[in-house]
Amino acid sequence: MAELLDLNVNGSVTVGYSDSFATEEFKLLEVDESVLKELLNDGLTIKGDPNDEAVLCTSSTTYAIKYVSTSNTVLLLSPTQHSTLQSDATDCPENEKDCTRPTSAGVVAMVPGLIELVETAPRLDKLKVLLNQRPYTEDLDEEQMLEEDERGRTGLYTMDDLANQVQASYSQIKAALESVQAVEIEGFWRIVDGNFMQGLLDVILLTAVQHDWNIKLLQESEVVQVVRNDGYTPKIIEHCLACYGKEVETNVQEPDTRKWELEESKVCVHYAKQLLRSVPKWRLEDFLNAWKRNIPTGLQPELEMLKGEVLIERIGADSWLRLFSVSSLPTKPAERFSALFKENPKWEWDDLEPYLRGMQAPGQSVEAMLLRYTRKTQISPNVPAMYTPR
Amino acid sequence: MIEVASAASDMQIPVKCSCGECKEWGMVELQGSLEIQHSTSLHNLTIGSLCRTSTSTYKLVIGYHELEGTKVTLKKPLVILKKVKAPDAMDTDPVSSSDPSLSTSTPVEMHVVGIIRHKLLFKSRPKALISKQEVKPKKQRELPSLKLESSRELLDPS
Ligand SMILES: [Zn+2]
Repeated sequence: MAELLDLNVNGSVTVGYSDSFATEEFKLLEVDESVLKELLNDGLTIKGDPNDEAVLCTSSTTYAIKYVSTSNTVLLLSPTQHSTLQSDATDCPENEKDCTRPTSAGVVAMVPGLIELVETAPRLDKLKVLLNQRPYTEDLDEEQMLEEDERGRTGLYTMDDLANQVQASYSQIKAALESVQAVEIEGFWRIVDGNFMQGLLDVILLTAVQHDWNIKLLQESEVVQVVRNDGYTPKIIEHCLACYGKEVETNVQEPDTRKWELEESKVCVHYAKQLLRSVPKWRLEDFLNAWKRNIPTGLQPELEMLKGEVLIERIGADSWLRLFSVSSLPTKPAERFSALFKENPKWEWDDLEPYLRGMQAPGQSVEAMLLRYTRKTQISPNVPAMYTPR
Repeated sequence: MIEVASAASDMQIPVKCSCGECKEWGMVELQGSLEIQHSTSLHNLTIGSLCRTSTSTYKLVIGYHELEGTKVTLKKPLVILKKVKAPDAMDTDPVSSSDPSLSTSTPVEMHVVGIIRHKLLFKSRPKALISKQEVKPKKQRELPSLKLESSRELLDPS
C-alpha cells in the first residue's frame, strides 16, 4: 500500500482529504483469495432484477450480498492520490521530532461499511419457469416456427439468456439443465415435454421389439435411422437414448457408432408413469399386475424403483398408489416441507427420505433441516418414528 | 447497497478489473467520527499526522488528540469497487443518449480500482496532547477534531 504501510519506522505522513475526496462513491467488497483471483482474472457477475435480492455469482458459486455497516470512521487512501496540501516540516508535532520530514497521503473516500458474501443456494426456480414456457414437442412445428420470424423465438432461451436471467452461477445452471434433462436444440435450451418423450421412448422400445434389438445394447445409428421415419429428429432421438440409458463403452474398431444400454429402472418407471397418467390412483395389486404386463420381457419391475415418484397409502384393508413426484416439488427447504405436509400431514422416515432429495440449501444437513421444519415423535421403540409439521 | 440496472433485458452487472493490475490501497479505521467545523470544503484539508512508531505500531495525531494504532492484516482482502457506465453502452445506445430520463437504465459495471489487505486500526482511546502547537492558530484553524464514540470495529482482526 502506498506510503502508509511502506513508511519507514519513524517516518511520518500528513494525512488529508485529497482534492478528489467524496467525488466518487466506492464500495468495499470482502472476498476470499479464490474469489479475488477469479474476479481479477475473469470477472464476476451481480445478478438480479429490481424485484430480486441481488446475488453475486462466480463461475461455480452463488453468493448472497450482505451489507455490514460500521460506526467507525473508515478512510480509504489511494496510492495515486496525494493530498496537495503543504507538507512542510513544521506540521510534524514537536513530540514526534524523531519523525522524518513528512510527506502527504490523500484520503479519497470515507466508507460507511462493507459488503460481505454469504454462499447461498442458486435461485433455480426461475430456470424451470423459463424452460416451461415452451417445452419441446412436435419436431415439425418447431422447424416451421424457427423459420418464420423473430416471434418464433418467444419463450426460447440460449445459454446466455439463461445466464442473464437466472440467479445462479454458470456451472449451477449447467447442472440444473442436466438434472431436468434439457437439451440444446438450434442453440436454445429446451425441456422436452413429458408426453412427447414418453411417446418417443414407446416408439424406440416398440421398434426394438420389431427389429429384435437388445435394449441393453442399442446401436445409436440404427435407432436413429429407423425412428426418424416416424418424424423425430436425430438430435431428439439421441437425447432420449441419453435420458433413459447410459452409453456403453465404444468399441475401438467402430468409433463412430455409439451404443446405449437402456436402464431397467428408468424404463420401468416410464411404464409406471404411463399407467398413472391414464388412471391417477390404483389399488396396489392392480397396479403391479398392469405394470408387469406392460413392460417389455426381460425387464423386472420393482416397487423400490418408484421411490420419490409414487405414494402408497393404506385405506382399510387395501393399499393405494398414486403419482407424487419429487421432481415436481420446490427446491427451497421451507417450501419443500410445506408442500410435503400439505400432501400428507405425517410421514414415516422411509417414505419421507426420497422426497428430501435435490433441495438447495448449502451448508445445511438433512438432520438440521428436519430439526428446523419437522417434529419427530415415536410412541414406542418398536413403531417407526413419525414426522409432523413443526 | 448495490442496485441492479432496471433494464428488463439485462439484469447482470459485470464486476471486473479494468486496469489489469490493481494496486493496494491504504485503509485507516478509527473509533468515533471526525468532526469538521463547518468549514468550506474538505478538499485538501489536513486530517492529521501519521507516524510509524515501530514495524507494527502507528501513531495518529488529530487536532489535540493522539491515537495509538496497529497495522492489521485483514483475514480476507477487500476490493474497492466503483460503478461505471458499461463502455459499449456509452455511445452505441441511441435511446439513452437521446433521452436523458432513460439514463438510469444504462448498463453499468463495477470496476475494481484497488485492493486492501491491511488496515491501520486505531482503537485505543485518544489521549489529549498538551502541545505548544496550540498557539499556532493560523495553521490549526481548520483541523478536524475527533468525536469519541464506542463502536464496533469494521472487521475483527485475526
Ligand atoms: Zn484493476
